[in-house]
Amino acid sequence: MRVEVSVDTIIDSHMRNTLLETLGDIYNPTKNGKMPILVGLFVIAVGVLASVMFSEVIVRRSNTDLLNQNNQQIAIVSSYITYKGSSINQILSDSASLFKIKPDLLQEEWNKYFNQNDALRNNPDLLLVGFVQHVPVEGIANYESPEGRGVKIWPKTESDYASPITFIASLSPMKDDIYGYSMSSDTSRREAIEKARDTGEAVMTAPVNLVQDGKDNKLLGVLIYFPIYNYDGVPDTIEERRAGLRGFAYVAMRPGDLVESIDESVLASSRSNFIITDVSANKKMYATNNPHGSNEGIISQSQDVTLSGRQWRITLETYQSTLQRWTNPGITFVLGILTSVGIGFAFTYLLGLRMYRMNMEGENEIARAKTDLLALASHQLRTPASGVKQYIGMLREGFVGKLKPDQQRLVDKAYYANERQIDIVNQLLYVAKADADQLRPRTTVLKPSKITQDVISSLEQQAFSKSITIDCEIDEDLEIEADPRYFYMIIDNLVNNAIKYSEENGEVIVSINIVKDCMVMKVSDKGIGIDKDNYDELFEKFHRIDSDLSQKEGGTGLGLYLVKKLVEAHHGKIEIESTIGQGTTFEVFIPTKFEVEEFGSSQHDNYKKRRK
Amino acid sequence: MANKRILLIEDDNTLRDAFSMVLSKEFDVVAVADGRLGLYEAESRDFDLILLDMLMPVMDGRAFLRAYDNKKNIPIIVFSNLDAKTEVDEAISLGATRYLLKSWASPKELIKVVRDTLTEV
Repeated sequence: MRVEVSVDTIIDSHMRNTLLETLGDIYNPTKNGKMPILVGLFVIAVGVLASVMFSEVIVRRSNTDLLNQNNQQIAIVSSYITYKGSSINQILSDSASLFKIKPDLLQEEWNKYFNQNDALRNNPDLLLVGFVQHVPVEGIANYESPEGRGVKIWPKTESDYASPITFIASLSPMKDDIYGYSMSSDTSRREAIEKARDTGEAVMTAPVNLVQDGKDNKLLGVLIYFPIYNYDGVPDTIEERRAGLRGFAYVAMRPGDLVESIDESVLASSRSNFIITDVSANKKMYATNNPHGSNEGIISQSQDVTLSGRQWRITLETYQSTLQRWTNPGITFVLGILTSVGIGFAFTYLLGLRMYRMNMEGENEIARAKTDLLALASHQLRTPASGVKQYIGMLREGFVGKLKPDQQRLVDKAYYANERQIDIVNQLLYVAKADADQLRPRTTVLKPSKITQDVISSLEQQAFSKSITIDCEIDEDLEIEADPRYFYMIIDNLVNNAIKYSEENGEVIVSINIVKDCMVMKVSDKGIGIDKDNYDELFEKFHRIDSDLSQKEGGTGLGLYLVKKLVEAHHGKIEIESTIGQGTTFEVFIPTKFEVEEFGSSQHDNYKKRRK
Repeated sequence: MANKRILLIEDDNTLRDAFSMVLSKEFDVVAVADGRLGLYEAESRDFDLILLDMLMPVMDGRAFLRAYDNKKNIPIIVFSNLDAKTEVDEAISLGATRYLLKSWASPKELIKVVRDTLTEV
């Protein structure tokens, strides 16, 4: 009676598909791959929005800043003018008191007084300090200046009194012909004079053309009159004041000089213009002339200040065009967008990197779990298989007496089936190791011919059953440095395959040569051959060539994958040469000297490096 | 000549039974189920060789090798299904004489390895 013992495919096609699906999931960690890009775009969008808003804010903020700054400048100028007014009043009242001491004061003494004190030097913005004599109508015709220089009152006017310029003290030389000029001949001056006379206080004129500047001069000036009475102090009533008027101490100045004597930095701003206006006369007395783009959109800030009875308006005009040039929202906007795009890209990159690493970690974790599971499973499978091997082995090797030939044949079949199972489990274990990058050869100097012979004799039975001859062309003295178990597995798998894919009465040739520092092993068969398109797939895990022969032979689909990994662990490579219908040759190249590499680096990476 | 005495430390019942059956063909075998019992036996009786499993509960092979004071230099064959390079190197560095894959040896081969190891010493 014949019994067929079949331990055909340990992994059937269904199980293989399930495994492939699982592995596919693990090896394609592309889920959520678009996330970093979406986040990056979001960051860019937020950045663009922020830069739009921010540029607006910046424009508004800087406008506000500028206007605040302008207000400060105006305040500085105003308080300076106020301060100036009071110091002018002081100068005027001091000089007026000279006449109390010496009613018949002379020009010489007037000059001497101002030379001795520093009133003029300290106030360079004052053009002069002078004295205007009050001449009643009856005295006009016979007017004689105190020095008797023959100065006449001019211009001739029909008026009840005249007020000729009598003394002048000034740092700059004055023309003689301004003496005798009657201030009251001019409406603006006359108004101020009469107001000063009646109030007893310093009064300023509206803006006027100063007499020393001539009629053509466009610069406007002002005069401040301080009344001097014949009595000590200011008389009580207007009538008494009019009757007792002696004259006026006065100053002449230009508002422009006043402003420009302030520290220049106050007026240095090129974005705006300073303007001083007399409010009641509505006359512009002074204006800086900074260039500006257009007259549109003037922002005007002003403050009024009262100086010796007149109201001045200090105005700072700022032009929108200069504001916009200064705080160009376009530039802010573009910079904002560029920045946010930059940050967006950085985010995308960093997040992508992070996700890639997380994926890798996850992948590694799964791979590790898988390896652990495989190792554990194969250990658990191997233990009982090892027990079976001992029990059947004892039967087979006559430990309990000699068996009959039929019994011996069955026991042999059981023994080899068990051996094959152990082989497959071992392969699984090595695959798990290869996947975890843990194949580390324990190399010794070995003789390839010896190991090849061992392999061939272990496969004799299999070859014999298909009447296949195995030729071995190896120099017995050849030596290489390799891991004997790994080396055995490489040859075993290749020769096993060669037998498997050979037709009956086929031929398998194993040859090993050393070319330079490289061992070249060729395992050839005259079998069915492999399509070129399938070369790469051949070395994939669980790949099996679909053919009648492979269906008949069965297998795990792990062999060539493992061979490739084992060869690579020795820093070698494997190649295929095949013609359909004529046969296949596997060529393995392994360096004869094994170079120990640093722990942790992947053999596969090293292999790649070598190839370059 | 008296039989050589072997101490077999193996936690798996089947394997312990199978190996002791094989080895008792030629040697006197004492078989125990974990490293702690093994250590007790090894320290209280004389043995010519110890066969030690690596993966065991209570006290594994590695712990046994660390704990056992091998005064008489008895050869120790470590046998296991673990054949990672690091495991092998560690076992040898801890005093094991040789390392054997459980699934590798047939009964005759197992006896031969033990016999060879005994004569080598």
